[in-house]
Amino acid sequence: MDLLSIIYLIIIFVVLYYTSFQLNLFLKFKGKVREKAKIGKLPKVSLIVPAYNEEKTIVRTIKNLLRLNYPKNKLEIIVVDDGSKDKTYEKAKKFEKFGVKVFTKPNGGKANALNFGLKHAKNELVGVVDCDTILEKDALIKCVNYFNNPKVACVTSRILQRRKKRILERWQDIELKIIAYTRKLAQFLNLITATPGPLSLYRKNVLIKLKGFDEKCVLEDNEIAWRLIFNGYEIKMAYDAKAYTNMPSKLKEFWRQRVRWGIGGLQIIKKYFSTFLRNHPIGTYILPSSIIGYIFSTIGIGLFFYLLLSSLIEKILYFVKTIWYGGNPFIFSLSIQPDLFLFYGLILFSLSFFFVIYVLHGYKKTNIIDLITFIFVYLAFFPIIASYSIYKFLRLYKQLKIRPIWLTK
Amino acid sequence: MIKNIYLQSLILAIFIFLSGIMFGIWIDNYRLSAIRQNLLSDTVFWDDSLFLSKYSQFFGQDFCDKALNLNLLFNEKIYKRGIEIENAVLANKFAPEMREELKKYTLMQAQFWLNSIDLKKKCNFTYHTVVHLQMLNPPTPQDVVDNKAQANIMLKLKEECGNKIMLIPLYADLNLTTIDAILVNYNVKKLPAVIIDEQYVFQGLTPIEELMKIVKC
Repeated sequence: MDLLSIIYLIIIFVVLYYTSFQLNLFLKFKGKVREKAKIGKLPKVSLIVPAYNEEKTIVRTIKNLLRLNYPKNKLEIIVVDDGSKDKTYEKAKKFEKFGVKVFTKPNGGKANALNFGLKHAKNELVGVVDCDTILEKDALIKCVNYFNNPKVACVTSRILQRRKKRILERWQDIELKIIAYTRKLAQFLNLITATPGPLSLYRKNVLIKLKGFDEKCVLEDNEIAWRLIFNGYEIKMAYDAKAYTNMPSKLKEFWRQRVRWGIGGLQIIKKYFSTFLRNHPIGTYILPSSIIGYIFSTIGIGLFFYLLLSSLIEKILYFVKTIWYGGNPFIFSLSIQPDLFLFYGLILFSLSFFFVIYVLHGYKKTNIIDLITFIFVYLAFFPIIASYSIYKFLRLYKQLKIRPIWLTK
Repeated sequence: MIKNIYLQSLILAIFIFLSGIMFGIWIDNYRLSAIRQNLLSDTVFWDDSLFLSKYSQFFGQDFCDKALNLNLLFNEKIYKRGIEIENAVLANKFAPEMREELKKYTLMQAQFWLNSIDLKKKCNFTYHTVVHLQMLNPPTPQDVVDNKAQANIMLKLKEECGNKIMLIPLYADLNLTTIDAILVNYNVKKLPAVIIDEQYVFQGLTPIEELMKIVKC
C-alpha cells in the first residue's frame, strides 16, 4: 500500500469516528430534540443589542423586541451603539419613550459593546440579540425556562436564515438547519461550543464572575461558550426558539465572514491549547475535534488540489500529445474498480445524506438542486476557508493577542 | 452514559473501518480469482492456437488460415485481458499476487509474439508484428503521459490496420528476465518503445506516421 493510501486511511478512520459519534448521539437523543423545557416562573431579562452602523436594521430589530411575547415589566432592552458613523444612535434614541435604554460609546468592537451593556443590565438573565435578527414572538419564553436548572448558565436558540432568494442564501439556510440539529444533539453531552449572537441568554452573575466577553477574541460568542464549559457550567439549546438572521448573500461577504470565523476558531484553540487531552470535555473532545477539523481540512484541500492539478495537467498533456502524435484522445476505456475507499465513501456519504434528509424533513420542502449543490459545491468551500484562515492566522499571529487559559483543576 | 457514547462510537468506527478492510481484501481476492480463471481459459485458447500454428507446417494452407484466424482472435482477446488486469493491479491494495498474474499475462504475450513470428514465416503471411513495450508504473509524470499517449496511438494503429498487424503489448517494468533480455537485445533505453517486424525499433513517444511508414495498411 502506498503512502497516499495510508494517509487516506488515517483520515477515513478519524472521519468515521466523528460520524459514528454523531450517529450515536442521533440514535440516542433524536426523540428528545423537540422536547420543551417545563414552563415555570418567568425571570427578569435584559436584552443587549450591540449595534455598529446598523441604521437600516436597528428600527426593525427594536420593534421586533418590543413585540416579544414576554411581560414588559420583566424585560429590559438595552441598545449599545458602538460608535456608529451613521444614524444608528439617533434612530434607536427615538425608542427611549418605549422604555428602551440607548447608550453610545466610542467604537471598541462587539465584545466591548456587550461588556458595556452587561454593566448596565439590571436583570438576572442577560440576552444578546444581533442587530440583523428577528425573533419569533415566543422565542424568549421558550429559552428562559431552561434556567430552572441552576447548573445552566447559557441557553441558545435555533438560528435560521431569513432571506432565501440567492443560491448562497439557500445553501446557508440548509447549513443553519443542520447546525441547529447537531447543536441540539451536542447539548445532551454539554458540548455546545457556540452561543451565537442572534439570540443567546446568559446568567448575568456567571458572566460577571467570568469577566464578561473576551474583547481580544474575534469570535466572542464561541469563546464564551468554551469558557462556560471550561468552568463547569451547562449550555442548553431551545430548539423551538427561533431567531431569524440574514447570512451573507454575496460570495465576497461570505468569504470574509467565514475567514473571520476561521481565525476566531484558531484564536480559541490557541487560548485553550493547554487543556489538550486533559481530563475535561474541552481537552478530550472539543479541542481535539477542532484541531483535527483544521488539520484535516488543510491536508484534504492540499491533497485535493494536488490530485486535481496533477490529473488536470496530465489530461491536458495527454490530449495535446495524443493529437500531436496522431492518436485519437477520444478513444478511452472507462474502468471503475470498486475498492475499500469506495466502500468507506459510500458508507460516509449515505450516513451523512440520510442525516441531512432527516433534519430537513422537519422543514418546508427543500429544492433538490439546492441540496445536491449544497453537498457537492458549498461544502467544498470549507477546507479552502479553513486553510486560508490558518494562513491568515499565522500572518496575524502577533497582532491577535490572546492570553492562554491554564487548566488549574 | 457519556463515556459510553465515546466508547461506543470508537467501537462502531473500528467495526466500520475493519469492515472496509475486509471488503477491500475480499474484492481484491475476488478480482484475483476472476483474473486467474480468465487466464486459465485463455491458456486453453492459447494452447489451441499454438498447436494449430505448429501443425500448420505439416498440414498446409488450410491449417495456416485457421491458425491465423485463431491467432487474431487470441490477439484481440488477450489485448482486452491486458487492460483488465492492468486496471485490477492498479486498484489492488491487498493481493500482491495480482502482479504475478500480470507477469504471467506478459509472458503469454511474449510467447504469442514468438508464435506470430513463427506462423508468419511458415505460412508466408504478410502481417506485421508490432510489439508495444510499455510501463505499468511510469516513474515520472511525463512518462505517465507518454505511456498513455503511446497506448492510444497503438490503439489507433490497430483500428487503422486491423488484421494486417498483430499488436502485442508487453509490460517492460515487471522485472521479468525474458522482457529484460528483449530490451537488451533491441537496445531499448527509453520507454515506451515499439518494435516492428523484429527489425525497426522506435524509442520514446512515437507518432503514428512514423509507425505507418513501416506498417503500410
